[in-house]
Amino acid sequence: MTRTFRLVPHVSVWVLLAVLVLVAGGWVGAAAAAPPAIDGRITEGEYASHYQARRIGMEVHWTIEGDSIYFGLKVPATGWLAIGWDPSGPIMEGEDILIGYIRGKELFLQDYFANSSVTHANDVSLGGRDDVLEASGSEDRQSTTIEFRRRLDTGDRFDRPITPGPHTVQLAYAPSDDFVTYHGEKRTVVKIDFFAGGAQEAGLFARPRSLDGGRGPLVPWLLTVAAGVVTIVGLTAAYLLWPRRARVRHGG
Amino acid sequence: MPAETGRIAWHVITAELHTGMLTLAFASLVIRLVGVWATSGTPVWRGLVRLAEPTAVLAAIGGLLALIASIVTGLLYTWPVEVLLTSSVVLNKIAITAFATTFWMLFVVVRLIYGGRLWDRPRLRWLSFALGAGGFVSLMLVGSTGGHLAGKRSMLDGVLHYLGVNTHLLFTLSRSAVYLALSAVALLAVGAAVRRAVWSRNLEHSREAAAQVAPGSSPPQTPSG
Repeated sequence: MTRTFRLVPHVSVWVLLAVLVLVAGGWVGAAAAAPPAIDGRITEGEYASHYQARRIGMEVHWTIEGDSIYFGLKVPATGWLAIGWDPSGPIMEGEDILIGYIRGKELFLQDYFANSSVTHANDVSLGGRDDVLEASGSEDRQSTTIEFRRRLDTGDRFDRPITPGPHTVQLAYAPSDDFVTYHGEKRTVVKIDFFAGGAQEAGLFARPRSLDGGRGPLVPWLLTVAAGVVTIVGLTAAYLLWPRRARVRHGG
Repeated sequence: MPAETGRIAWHVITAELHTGMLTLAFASLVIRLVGVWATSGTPVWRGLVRLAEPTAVLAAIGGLLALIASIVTGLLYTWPVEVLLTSSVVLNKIAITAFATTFWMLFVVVRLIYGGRLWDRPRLRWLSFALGAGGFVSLMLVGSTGGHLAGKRSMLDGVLHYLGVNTHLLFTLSRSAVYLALSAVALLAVGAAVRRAVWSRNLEHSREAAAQVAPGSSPPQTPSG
C-alpha cells in the first residue's frame, strides 16, 4: 500500500501562512510608515530622514506624510532654535521661519517670516497665519527638542512651499528663551532635498550680496552718506561765512 | 552670561548713554532758547535758564563721546561684518548715525569757537539750535531703526509709514542727485567765502575813507559770523 501524498491540505497551509505573513508584514510596514509622534521626543528611526549640522551640533529630522511635513529639531542648548528655508536673500530676507523655545514646561513655537535680511516678524503680525498644525517639545539641562507638523504648501503668502528638489535651509539657535536674541556663530546654511533626503552644507549665508564694482548698493549708499555729511557741514560753513549786514555805528 | 551676549551689552549701554545725554542736551537747548525771550519769571526758571547752557554743552560733549563709543561697539560687537554691509536696515541706521554725529559734532565745535556769548547773537543762536534739533531728530530715527533691528516696533512707525517712508528699504540717492547736492553746497560755501572777502575789502575801503574824511570817528562794524 502506497502512502498517497495529500497536496491539497499542504497548499491550504501554505496559503494560510502566506496570508499571515502578508498581514503581519503589512502591519509592520504600516507601523514603519506611520507619521512621527509629536511628543517632544525624537526616537531612533522615528523620522524618514535626518541631517546633523556638525559645526553647531543641531539635528534636523523630517518625514513627509501626505500633504504634511513633520519636523524634529534638537540643539545642544536651552534657548530658542529655528529652521528656515528658501530666502530670496540677501541673508535670510524672504525666508519662511519656524522658531521656538521652551520656558518651564511650556512650548512657544511661532511661524515667522524674514521681512528683511536680518529681521523677522511673526506671520500673524504681518497679516498672515500661524501654520503650525501641531507641536510639542521638551528640554533638559543640555538640550532642547521641538517637534511640529505643517502642510507642505500652506497657501500663506508669508510661507514657502516645500517641493521636490534642493532647498536652502538655515538652522540656528541661541541660549535665550525669546524670539530675538542674536544667534551669533550658532547658525549654518545647508541645502536639503526634503523629498529625496539629501543634504549638503552651503556655508554661513545663503546669498551674500556682491560688494564689487559699484553694482551692489554699497557705492550709492556711501555716496549718499558722504553727500549728507558734506551738505550738513557745507551749509553750516556757508551760514557762518555769509557776511552779516553791517550796522554802521553812529556817534563819536 | 554667554560671552557674546556680554559683548552686545556694551553696545546697549553706550547706546542708552548717548540717547540720554543728547536728549538732555536738546532739552537744555530748548530751555535756553526759550529763556532768551522769557526773561522774567520765577527764580527757579531763571536758574534753570542759567544752568541750561552749560548743561547742554556738557551733555552734548558726553553724548557725542558715548555716540562714538556706541558706533565702535555697534560695528564690533553686534552683527557680523557681512550682515552690516548687506542689511538695508543696518545700512540705513549707519547712515543716519553719521548724520547725527555730524550735527552734534558741529554743535560742539560752534559752541567751543564762539563760547557762551553766542546766545547774544541771534544768527549763532539759531544755528546752534538748528544743529541740536537736527542731531536730536536724526537720533530719534537711529533709535527707531535700532528698535526694528532688535525685533521690536517703533513709535515712529506710524508717522514714517504715513509719510510713505519704508524703513526696510535701503535709502540711496541717485548719482546725479548726489553730484547736484555736492555741487550746490560747494557753490554756496565758495560763494559765501567770496562774498565775505569782498565785503571785508569794501569795509576796509570804507574804513579808510571814513578815516580820511573824519579822523578819529568810529569805523564801521566788521563782518562777523
